[in-house]
Amino acid sequence: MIKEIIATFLVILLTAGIIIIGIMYEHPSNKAEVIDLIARAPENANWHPSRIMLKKGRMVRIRIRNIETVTHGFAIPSLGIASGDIRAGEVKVIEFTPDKEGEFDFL
Amino acid sequence: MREDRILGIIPSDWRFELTKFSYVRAFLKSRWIPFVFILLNASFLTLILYSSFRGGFSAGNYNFGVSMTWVLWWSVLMILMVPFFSRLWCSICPFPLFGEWLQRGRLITVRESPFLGLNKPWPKGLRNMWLMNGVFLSVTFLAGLFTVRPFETFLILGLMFIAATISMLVWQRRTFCLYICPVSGFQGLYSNLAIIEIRRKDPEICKNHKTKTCFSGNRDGYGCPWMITPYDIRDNTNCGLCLECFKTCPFDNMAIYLRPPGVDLLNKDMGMDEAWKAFIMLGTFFTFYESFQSPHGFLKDWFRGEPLSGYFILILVHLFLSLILLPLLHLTASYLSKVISGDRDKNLRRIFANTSIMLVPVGSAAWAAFSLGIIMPNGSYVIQVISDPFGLGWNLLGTSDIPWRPCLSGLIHPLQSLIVTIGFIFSIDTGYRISQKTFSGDSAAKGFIPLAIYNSLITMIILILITI
Repeated sequence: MIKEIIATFLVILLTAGIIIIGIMYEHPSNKAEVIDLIARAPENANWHPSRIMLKKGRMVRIRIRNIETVTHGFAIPSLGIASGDIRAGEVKVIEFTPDKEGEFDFL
Repeated sequence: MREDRILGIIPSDWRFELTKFSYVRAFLKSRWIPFVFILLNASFLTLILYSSFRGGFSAGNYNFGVSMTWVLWWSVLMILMVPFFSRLWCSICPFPLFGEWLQRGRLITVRESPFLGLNKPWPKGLRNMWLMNGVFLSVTFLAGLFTVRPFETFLILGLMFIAATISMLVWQRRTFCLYICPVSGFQGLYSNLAIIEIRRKDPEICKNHKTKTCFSGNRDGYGCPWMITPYDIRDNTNCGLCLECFKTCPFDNMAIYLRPPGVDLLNKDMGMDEAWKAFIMLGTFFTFYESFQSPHGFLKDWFRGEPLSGYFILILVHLFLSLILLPLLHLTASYLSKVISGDRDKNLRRIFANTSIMLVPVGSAAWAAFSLGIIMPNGSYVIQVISDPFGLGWNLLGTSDIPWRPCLSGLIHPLQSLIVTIGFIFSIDTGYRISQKTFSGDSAAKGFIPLAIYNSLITMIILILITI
């Protein structure tokens, strides 16, 4: 019977436990907001997603992946944020805490 | 009498018993095996379901669920597991875990009577691959979506899990795995190529063992969940490598053998359901290769429903190819084979079904080649996503930000061609020997000619697709 109890515990830990860990880490107080941006050429629909919403005072981590074959750049002029060059296939991560909130134009 | 040899090299009755080592047998007899591997896979499946539900990156391959399922799992399954190790995946598959737990009321220990569920027998008319063929084809219709979109991956895997659990509460033992699961049918058919098998050792022991505990079960294990009779397994098709028969045999008379590849193909009587499985797999390969790996990018858009009319055209072509054209070509080759052999008493239906097994080595090789075309260009995504399985911005192993980098892309097409050529050689070898079994005396060589031409034509088309 002890074997069965251990097996049951392991099943719960390694299935339900994973979901609980995920939910805990997703709690807003536990993490910076992560935004994943895909950089594409204008003829391939440009950025995805095309809008960025930020909250004042909440740290944000923007991960930009350039999936094209040419170099891209990323900037949010109204916040003074710029990535520099992001070469083809590269990933760049920018972290900052905005001092205003809303939808921001980026390029 | 001339010794039967695979490719004229390896004696077809050559075997090496892996379980002759006492520690291997002790390992396999433990009730923790294969449970611990199923548990690890269940853990991975949970992570995959969670991450694909959350979505992560909108470009699918950056999502843990999409990458781990359609890049890593699929490739390992089709390149390594099925062609070499039979239904190894089935033995560690996490989908039936909860259904079986509810059925038995136990995870690893043995309960003599069922715990929950109706325990119904599967209808006799459906004890074949036809339903699985239909389910598999239906799933392929959506491949353009779920292979690139996280949420669709969540839906398809979630549905599989729910279907497995519910059906195990309605029907007995592993009915779901035997007759419903969309990835079971082709694993069963292609597992006849494998280099391993589970078989009894001494037939006399089984003959004298009246209670047949490998089928009925005892205090040490459950009766064969796959509802086959382990004391006389003839081919790998329906053996799920669950290892219960190792636990229930009081004489340690079950063994895992290494063997030459493809020996089951020579002994197997193919049913029409299995023949159509072979056609469907080959037809699906053609559709998938053209849609996902050819230079014709518009077909990939069609597969995603852009435009919808293109999608329907693609699906109709896919169905025509798999269900009508390939079987018609095979029927023509079988008919010509019968005529040219001069052995007119032979039943055309039997020739058609039995010689369809020639499509197994080349079909399996085509899928291995296709899967190589997935893992080599996209394997770097797997390295990225393992650092951030939840898509929360983690970089656990420091690999999260590495750029996408195809692996040895110049070698992909040569390797694919090599794999298909090896499959073709096995197909021709198998076909010739099936022909020898089907037709008498000199008529075997004559009867083989149309089948060889047909198989060469199929292989040439595959090679042309790969090399253009």
